[in-house]
Amino acid sequence: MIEAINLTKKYGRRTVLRGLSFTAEKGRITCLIGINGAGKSTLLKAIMGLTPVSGGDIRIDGSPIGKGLYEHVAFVPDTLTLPPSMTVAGSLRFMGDFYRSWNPKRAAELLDFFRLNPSDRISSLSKGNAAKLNLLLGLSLDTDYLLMDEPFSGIDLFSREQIASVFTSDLIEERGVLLTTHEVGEIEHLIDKAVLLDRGEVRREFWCEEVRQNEGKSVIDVMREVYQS
Amino acid sequence: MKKYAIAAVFAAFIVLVIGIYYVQAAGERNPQFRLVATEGDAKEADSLVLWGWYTDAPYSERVKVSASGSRYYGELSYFGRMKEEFIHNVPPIDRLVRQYPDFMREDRTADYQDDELLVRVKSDPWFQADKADATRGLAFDFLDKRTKRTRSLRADLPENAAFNGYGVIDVQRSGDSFKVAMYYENLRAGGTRGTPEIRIYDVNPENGGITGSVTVDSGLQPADGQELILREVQSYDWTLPSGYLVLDASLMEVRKIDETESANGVRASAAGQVEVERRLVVYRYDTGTVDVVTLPVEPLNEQTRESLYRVGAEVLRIRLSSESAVIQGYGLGDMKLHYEKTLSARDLQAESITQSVAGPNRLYLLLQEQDRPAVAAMDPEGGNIVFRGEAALDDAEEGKSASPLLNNLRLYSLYMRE
Amino acid sequence: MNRYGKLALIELHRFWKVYAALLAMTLVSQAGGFFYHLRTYMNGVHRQMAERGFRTYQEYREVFRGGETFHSFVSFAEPWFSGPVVLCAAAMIFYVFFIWYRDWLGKNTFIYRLLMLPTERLNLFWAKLTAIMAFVLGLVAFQIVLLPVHLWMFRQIIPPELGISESIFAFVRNHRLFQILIPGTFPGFLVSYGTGLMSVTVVFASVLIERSFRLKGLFGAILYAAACGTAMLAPSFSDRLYPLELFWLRFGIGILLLAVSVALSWLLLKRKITV
Repeated sequence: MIEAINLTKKYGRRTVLRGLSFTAEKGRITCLIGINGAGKSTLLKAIMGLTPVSGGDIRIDGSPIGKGLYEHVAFVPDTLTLPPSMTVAGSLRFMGDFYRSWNPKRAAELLDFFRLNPSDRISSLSKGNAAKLNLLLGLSLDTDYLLMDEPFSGIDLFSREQIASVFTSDLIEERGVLLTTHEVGEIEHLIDKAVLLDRGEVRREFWCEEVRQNEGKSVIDVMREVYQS
Repeated sequence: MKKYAIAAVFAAFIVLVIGIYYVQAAGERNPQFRLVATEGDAKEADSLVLWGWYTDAPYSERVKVSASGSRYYGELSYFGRMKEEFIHNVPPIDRLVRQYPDFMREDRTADYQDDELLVRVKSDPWFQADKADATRGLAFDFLDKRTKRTRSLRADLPENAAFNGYGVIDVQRSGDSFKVAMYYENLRAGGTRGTPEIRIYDVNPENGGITGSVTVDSGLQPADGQELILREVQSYDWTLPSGYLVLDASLMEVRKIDETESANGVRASAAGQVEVERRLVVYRYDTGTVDVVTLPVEPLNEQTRESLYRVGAEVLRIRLSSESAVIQGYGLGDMKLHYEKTLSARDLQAESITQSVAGPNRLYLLLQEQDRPAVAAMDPEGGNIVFRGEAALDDAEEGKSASPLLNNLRLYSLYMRE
Repeated sequence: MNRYGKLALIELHRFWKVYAALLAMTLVSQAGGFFYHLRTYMNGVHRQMAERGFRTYQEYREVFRGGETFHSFVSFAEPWFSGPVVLCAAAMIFYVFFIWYRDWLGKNTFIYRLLMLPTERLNLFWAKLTAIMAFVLGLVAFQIVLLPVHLWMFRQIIPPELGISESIFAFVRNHRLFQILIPGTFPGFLVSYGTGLMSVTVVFASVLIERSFRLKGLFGAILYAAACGTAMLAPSFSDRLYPLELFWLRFGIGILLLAVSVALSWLLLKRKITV
């Protein structure tokens, strides 16, 4: 379980996260929802140790974050963070060189599935292909958790469908997934848990199926309630 | 895999190239020389170090040559360069720095030493811009050689409005007090000088009080248009106790030397200083008496240089040109001329005389033979040449022809190695 | 191979094209410029000889000056000789900063990947430091190799009556720029490039301060670099130290600054760095 406990983060005088707490369970898909600037990206980066927090605690399966984190938690950032001159094949080699948890067989399968050309340079990839490669790099690590920052943003429809199909496959099954989006509509049917953020705080954290059954509301309904109050 | 190989080759390239370069650089040496005796006792050369330049066009390198071989600045190790004062060798100071590094750290000067004490005296700067009333005084630093304890003392000097500059020229110990000889000068605007003065103060080392002062009278009084120049005649190691203060007093007159008139009636005249009278003035610290010897005045031409040295118990006056050295020896004890010798370069088996240098008990003449530098040593007590030596190629340079290499060597001065 | 080694290889590989260009530029500028000047000189000599009916170089030399040294010919060929050295030095100085900043630039910010690698983050520091030192020493080694080549070219083109050869070591010792690049003794080399290494670590720490605190960090970085510079220079202002003492004091300070910079970088990378 990924736990965020009372996280605060300031950028200069601006407070981006205010005493934020939530959990993301293993084997479930948790979605952080909020408008741009609500602190979603920052939160993911903080969990991944890519930015320090001013206060609070982060725990992965009970332990604080450290060097060993990266073999257990994979992160798919909102852009493909690789050097422009690197090739697709080169990026797979890079990952394989450094991560014990790299699964080359799965990587090869995904390469096929996404129809990516190994000799293409990163700089020449279309937005859709870049997002697919990004996801490939994250999925090909045998990690317990997978974090994704805006995986669908700015992607063409067909690529989006391809990516969405991955969510329902066995590639995701046992892992804990934490993703952010500001467009809930398309993935509402995929997510197990929703965490609604507003100005650095958690406004509401709930299990989607529960709310649908008990209150008869969709996630978007809850969002409307929460953000318009 | 290819990347690893290229990186490994790159690393190997760096290590090999740089390593080989320095191994080879260490092996390359300039010709090695040695000072060999050609006349007299070879022991005279034991502590002599001659220094100058070795020129192998287009480069010149600083080099020192002695009886045990040569040392080039470029061949010193990294640490050697830091330890060795290759340019300014003042052996009495070098020795003191070695023996008493902490005392000498403060200032690399010293004025007096005996078995018990090492003393340094500094006068307050004459011009103290930040003070309304400048202090005139002496700062003493004492080192007890046995206990290694140091002590400082201040002595205030009486103000003297007639002068605008001063300095310490000699310090001697007299029983329990110290005698400090001071040089007072008056430099006027326009470069002319007022009459300088030598004063000797008695200083009480316990409280810095001035208990007495005398003025050393040279007996020369400059008239209008004349200037008196006073200089101390130093010995090799001025810190050693001495019963004498030796001064070179010279009365100069400004005279018109030449006058010309050009075609259009413009007059130009050249004036210069001409020596009118010359004296050796010796002050004896124990009796307080001043003895004077008048030195013959001889005009200098452009090629001749004159120097006065104290070597042992003699005062030597040397007039040096590249062809000859005229040496007069005056006894400090009896103030008489003991000898006058004229040595030509040929007498010394050389083509020219380069330089004269005083040692603790020898006068050295640096010479240039036809194809190599040489040196002659003269005993001041009688003016006889007791040693001659020349630079020769070291045994290690067997097989090489000596002459062209030695011809590149020019030795300009020497010092005594401690 | 361990992860530090792999990172070092990545750093070496990322720069190789620019590096190769620097090496090529040095070769072309020095050898080409030198060759051009030697040839121009000899053409002039031959023209004069033809005009005046000289048959030997000796005759030419008696009328005109001859007997110039390798050193002089190199001076005539400036700035083609020293120019590339200065440019390469400037490029490397720039890269000491850019080797970090390039990971944050653009939309493909590689620093995400680097910080998420399952390895001590300080290995990023060591890898970049290794790369910089390797590139700098590689340039020095390359220059050392080129000098005998230039000397050989000189001997081939200029006849002995007109050109005096010399040893490479004497040439380097007496050349204002090369004597800095290639110090006379091996310990001197270690001290020079060791000081360079220490300076690079100070710059690295400064960059990391800036990258951790952004605008505040920029001031912090400048302050840190200035403090380190002052610490290095401070002993020289005392005239009470003997040369050997001064050396050891500066050596000690240098080691201290190196250790502090590495420790500071470790801390920043572990806890304060932000993408």
